[in-house]
Amino acid sequence: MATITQPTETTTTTEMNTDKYLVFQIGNETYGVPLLQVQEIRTYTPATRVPNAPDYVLGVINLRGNIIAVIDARTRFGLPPLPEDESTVVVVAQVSDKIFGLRLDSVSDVMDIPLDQVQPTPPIASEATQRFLSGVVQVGERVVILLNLREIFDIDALSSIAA
Amino acid sequence: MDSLMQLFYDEANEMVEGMEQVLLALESGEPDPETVNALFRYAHSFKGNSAAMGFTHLSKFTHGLESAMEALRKEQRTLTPELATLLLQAVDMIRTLLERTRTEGDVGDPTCEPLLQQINAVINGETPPPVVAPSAPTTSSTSTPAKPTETPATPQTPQYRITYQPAPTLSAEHDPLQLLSELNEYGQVIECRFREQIPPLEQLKTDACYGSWELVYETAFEPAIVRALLELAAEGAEVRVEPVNAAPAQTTQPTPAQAATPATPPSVVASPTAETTATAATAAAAVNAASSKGEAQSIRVSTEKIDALMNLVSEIVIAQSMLSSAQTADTDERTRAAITQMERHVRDLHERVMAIRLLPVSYLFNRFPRMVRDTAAKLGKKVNFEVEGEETELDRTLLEALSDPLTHLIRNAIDHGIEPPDERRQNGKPETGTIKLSAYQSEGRIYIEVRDDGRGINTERVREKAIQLGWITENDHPSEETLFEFLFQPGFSTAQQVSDLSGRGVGMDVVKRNVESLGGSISVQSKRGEGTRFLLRVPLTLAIMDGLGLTVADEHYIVPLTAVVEAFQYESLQHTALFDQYEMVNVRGEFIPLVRLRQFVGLPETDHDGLIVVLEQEGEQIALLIDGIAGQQQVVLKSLEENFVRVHGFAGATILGDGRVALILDVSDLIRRGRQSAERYAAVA
Repeated sequence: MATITQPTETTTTTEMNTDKYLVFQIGNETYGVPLLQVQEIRTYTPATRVPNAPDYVLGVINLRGNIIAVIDARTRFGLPPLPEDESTVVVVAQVSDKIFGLRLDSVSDVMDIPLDQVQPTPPIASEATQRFLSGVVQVGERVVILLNLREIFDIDALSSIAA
Repeated sequence: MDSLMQLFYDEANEMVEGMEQVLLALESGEPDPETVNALFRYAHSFKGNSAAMGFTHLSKFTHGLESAMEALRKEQRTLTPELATLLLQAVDMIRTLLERTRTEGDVGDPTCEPLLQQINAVINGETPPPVVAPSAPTTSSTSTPAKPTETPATPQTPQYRITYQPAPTLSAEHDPLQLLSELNEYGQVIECRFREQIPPLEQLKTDACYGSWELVYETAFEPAIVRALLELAAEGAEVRVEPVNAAPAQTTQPTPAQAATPATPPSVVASPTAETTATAATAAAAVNAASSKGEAQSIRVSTEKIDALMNLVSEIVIAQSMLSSAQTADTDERTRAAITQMERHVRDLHERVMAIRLLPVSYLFNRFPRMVRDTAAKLGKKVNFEVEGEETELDRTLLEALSDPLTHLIRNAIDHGIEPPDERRQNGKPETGTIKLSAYQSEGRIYIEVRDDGRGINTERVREKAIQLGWITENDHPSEETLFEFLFQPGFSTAQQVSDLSGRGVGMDVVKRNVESLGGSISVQSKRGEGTRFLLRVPLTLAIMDGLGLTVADEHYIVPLTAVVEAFQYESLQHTALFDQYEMVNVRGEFIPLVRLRQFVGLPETDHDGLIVVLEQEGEQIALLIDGIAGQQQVVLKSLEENFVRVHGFAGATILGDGRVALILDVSDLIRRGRQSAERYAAVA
């Protein structure tokens, strides 16, 4: 039988209770997603629009033979979209057996986030976007808002796109 | 699951299926010691395997079964229906025990012991000792004229003299060179002589073949295999195979008259002496040899690996087309040549990998004899189940998807089609009904037919039922075709009795929907008192298709080429809109509902005149208004659902030559859209 790898076991390096997070800026804020869920970071290539899909679904792209959806993080958070430039990237992540891409303005860093210092999200965002957040944490001088990718992709709410 | 365990289950499942087939074959055919032996061997290896895996209950049960079969083998008993049922139950028991080892671990079943006792009781003569198969001596006497010792014990590899005369009219399938190279794969062609019989010029026909070949061929394979090989490679040709270094009697030239023994295939001219050696007895041995050789040459590969390979090859196809389109006028000759060569290899590779996914339909058909037997027994009907074309190959995914629809159709045939024996007798039909399941390939599609010789569809009852359901009125007398169509509508069932097997009002509509979701179609023909025939048409594979690229604005969509009927300039057609709801175009006097692709995909309308493509599926047509046509291309069908969600209106997606994704339109959805607006129109009018 294959052993089930515990995320915490593999990511814990020297310190206890830290997880690696991919960190990026959206607007003025710094956000982070668990590095373990991230498969790769790609430069943005135009997606094929999917008719009748919600506005935050930019469309579908070809990821080595698989068709994956790309979600625009800014639109998803209710921010006006930015035109793409050289730093625009797609973070390919996996949640609930499905792979999707999250379009970001840029990615900045990989950080060790001390898990025991993560605090519940204060009601900083509207209720609609609150569910995208899984906590905040102060790392040095920066405040990092941790994102819940499952909620952002929210495949169950989409379930199927009617014509 | 570790791989050893997986191997065990794979093999176990194969053996269970094998046992079942052997049992069913035994029951319908004459007793054959070889098949009983096969049964015994299955039980024996099963016992060993399960013991090795530590499944004590399973090994104990199969051990008991093995002993019982040992008795069966020694006693040379015929397989009574009673015993067959018991043994089939034992097979089911093995299945149950197997399943339990997966889910609950090594637990037994309390009914194991009683079942074994019952089997032993029957075998050990609580039934009258069977007449030692009256047919057995006769069959053995005919099938053993050639005892092993009679076959010339040649120390060196046997040689054969092969005469190969292509059919009088040469056709493209005939390729003597290919035949030679194929022969060389299985042995060695030592001598090859061409003999011409070219007539005088005035009698010469341009498409006729006046040559023949004479070969001396050396191979370790049985003559039967050599013949099979030749027959396959040279259909319609006249082929003779004679051993060269055999007994003197065998060197006599066979005359065609002597040779035309009905037992041998028509294309093979058999010498009465040498060939009898090769007929019955050796043929059987050859088949065994062939099958055992087949086993040795195949390996088990997980479908996941094949799918991964398939994906990779699709990627290469795409990369290749990117490379090809990157060529410019400046590309130097060597690069150009390399790309061309690469193209060819990639295409070959693609075809080969596609072929791996193909499985013979027997993989699916083999499940049915058992089901037919059980269902017929349950309903008190006598059914003879025939299968044809089980070697037809089909994509694995398709095969699995066809399992449910076919099961349903066959059950229906037994339940509603075939009459009870006494009714059949009264109608002057043989008591035993026949259900025939056949498969064949034609025009790039696979056809699967379920045919019964039962009572046929009672169109009058279908009409009554339709009236009852309010679909038609008393005064309506729809055509037979329309009435048959009703059978596929949801909520329709004419079964007077609701049985637990079929006739619950759901079924035929589900069958139709399943088949259509595979890109196929279903039709029915029926004649009162004579029988019913269901015909399923499915594509060869789900993974690849010919598509037509359509454009609207800067977007690119694909429709299956098979659905495209014709295309027109929009302004060339008369256009009618009723209440702004129902748009139609007049195509040669016929009004076809119009769907605007821009509207369908949520783009703003344009003033530009576009093109109209007429699409057809299931006899329904739709006119699709588009901006332009981007050309025809082979597309690899990709799922949108795998990593995203199902998108209505689209059957999937594909990757274009430039690496972009294009969505594939679902023609049945478009037709539904057209029909809906038609219905709205009807409601308004």
